[in-house]
Amino acid sequence: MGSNSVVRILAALLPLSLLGGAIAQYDIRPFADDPVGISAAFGAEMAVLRLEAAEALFAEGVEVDEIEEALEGLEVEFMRFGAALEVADPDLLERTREAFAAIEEAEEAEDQAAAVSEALPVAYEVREAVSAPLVADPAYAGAVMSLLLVSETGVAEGWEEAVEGEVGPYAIGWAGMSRLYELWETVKPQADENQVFEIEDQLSALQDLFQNPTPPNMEGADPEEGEGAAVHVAGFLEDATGAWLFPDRDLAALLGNTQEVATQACEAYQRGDTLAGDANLVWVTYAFNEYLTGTLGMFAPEPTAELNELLDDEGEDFDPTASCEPLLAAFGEAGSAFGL
Amino acid sequence: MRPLSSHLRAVLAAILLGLPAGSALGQEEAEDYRIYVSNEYGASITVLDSSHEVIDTIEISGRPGDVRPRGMDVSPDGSRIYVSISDFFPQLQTPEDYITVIDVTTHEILNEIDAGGNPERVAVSPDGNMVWASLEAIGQGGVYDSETGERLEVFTVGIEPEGVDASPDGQWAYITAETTHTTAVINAQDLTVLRHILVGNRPRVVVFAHDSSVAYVSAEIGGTISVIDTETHTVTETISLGLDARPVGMALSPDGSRLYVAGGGTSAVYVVDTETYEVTDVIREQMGRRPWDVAVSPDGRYAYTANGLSDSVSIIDTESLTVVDNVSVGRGAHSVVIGRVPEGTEAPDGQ
Repeated sequence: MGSNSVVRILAALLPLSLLGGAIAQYDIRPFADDPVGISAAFGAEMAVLRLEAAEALFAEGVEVDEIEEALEGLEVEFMRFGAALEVADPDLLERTREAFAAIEEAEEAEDQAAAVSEALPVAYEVREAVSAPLVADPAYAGAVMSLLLVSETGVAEGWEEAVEGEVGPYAIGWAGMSRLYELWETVKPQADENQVFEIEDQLSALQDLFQNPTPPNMEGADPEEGEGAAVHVAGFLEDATGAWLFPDRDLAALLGNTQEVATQACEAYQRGDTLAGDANLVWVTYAFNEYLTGTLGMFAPEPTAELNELLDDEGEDFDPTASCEPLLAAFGEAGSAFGL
Repeated sequence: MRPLSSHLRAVLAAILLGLPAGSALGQEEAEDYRIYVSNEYGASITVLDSSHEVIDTIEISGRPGDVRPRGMDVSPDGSRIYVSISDFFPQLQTPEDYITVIDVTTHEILNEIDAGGNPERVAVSPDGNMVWASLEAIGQGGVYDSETGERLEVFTVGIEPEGVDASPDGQWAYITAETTHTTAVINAQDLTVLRHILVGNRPRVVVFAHDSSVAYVSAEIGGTISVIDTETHTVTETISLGLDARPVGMALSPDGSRLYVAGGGTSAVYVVDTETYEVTDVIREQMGRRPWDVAVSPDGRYAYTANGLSDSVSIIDTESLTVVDNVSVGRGAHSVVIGRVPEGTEAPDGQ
């Protein structure tokens, strides 16, 4: 990249630093302070939702292929919370591994349904061990709620995919609604009257979209209807908690932070701590794919292409031995284009 | 809800403000214009006259929920309204993706421009010859001959294009992209992309100053307005409205001294001084819920917001900066623009 290009990019990014300084009305930044902790809590929450969704779909007699859509992310959720669970309860970690493996290995639908039902109480224990301590803090409850609402596996996306004919993501959204209400109870005491009204009004609007585990007739449905309400709730949660609950509010900071987490992932892999490596890497993959790749691709196309190749899927196929060095180099190159 | 007629409210507001009661009505009578509100879920355009009465509802299709009218713009003489029409599947290109052209005098549909790519917002060039569109489905902007509908060019502008405006001097078109947090600068003379500018988080609407010296870009999640110098195409100021504001639509006063910003998050309209870039007022009382767009009457006397959650238009007296009325429109009010009625024109038949 020529020096003129770098100057142009830096000039383009100048407003970002101005932006960062100008809008800091909320002081708490959970996604900057503990992204991997939030990711672990989110993974524990999502594991429960996936199992609740699958159990409900089995009960409804839905085709196994469609139930698989709900279950196929369990491996990634395990990557998210494995390291935290190892610290909190090593025995539970092993039981979780076994419970998830039983689902994976079940060949008949009946066996898989039974394995799901057996795994669910284990997942509740995981959630209690990994997520509950974190979401006791309203700002972190808000952060997890934000991910449950607007992430690529969240409630809003569940509605959008249901409009496109997908059943599994919708069922996860359905399961997610009751958990959102539970988490909201942690935040509610510090919300003012208007915030309570707005959040509960829009949670209710979302709830109306998710009456049952299986989608209603979607003819004429607006795929973005869930997103509108979900973003509104997340925005008012920010207001109530005084915390930044959209991870990409400050894009340069997110890139810098993601680069740091990538370094920690590679260090963990190097010392043989696969669980910690996975937990860090899965956040890196999520942050990059969800928030960074589009913008980086416009201003630093070459390292972004490299990162896209290394971080495809959700980090499940990442080979630390071969990929860590180019990963960190690509992040470094992308970061320097962003003035980091 | 509409407890009082707009005339009565205007009179009462004038009395409360100690103004001559006839002043507000006098302004209404002096300006003959129409207010067009696109109803995203109702698949219609609600038309109000300058006394704030609903005089017509233009059906875009008989299939609400299948197609949605969203962003609009007006021809330079105010006689035509251009409306972006799309289906509910932003990721698909379908025959439902077009720009419809409505005659302000008759409310007849004059033309349908095949836009492709799920057009979300449109902008008419200052000479009226070209129509620009953000094409959400394909990450592109498009420009079309306003008479023939011929597609003149398409541009890569970032992911999820949203806001679009053409500079009054005819030099530039800016198109925002929500997911990449960028604004594309397009040379409107040779139809090439000059550069991409990073702006606030989730940029939505872009509006050029009347003298084309700057452009304003609202950032919904950022809660900011980026001010872009159109000589250097760099952000020179960032106006903070608060992280809860969720600004989307914007409109300038006729003299350009005020920028009105619709804050969907706070159900408020922010008034920005364009000299100092200070927020001078925030209008909240009696506002409808989730205002997504705002337009200003030709005389600058009123501002109108399209309120997405309350399916209404809030009418703001720009002298007192208070809401003087709320008028029900169709489902999912998305955008609002002002059309000018040629002298001697009657309302459409049947009204």
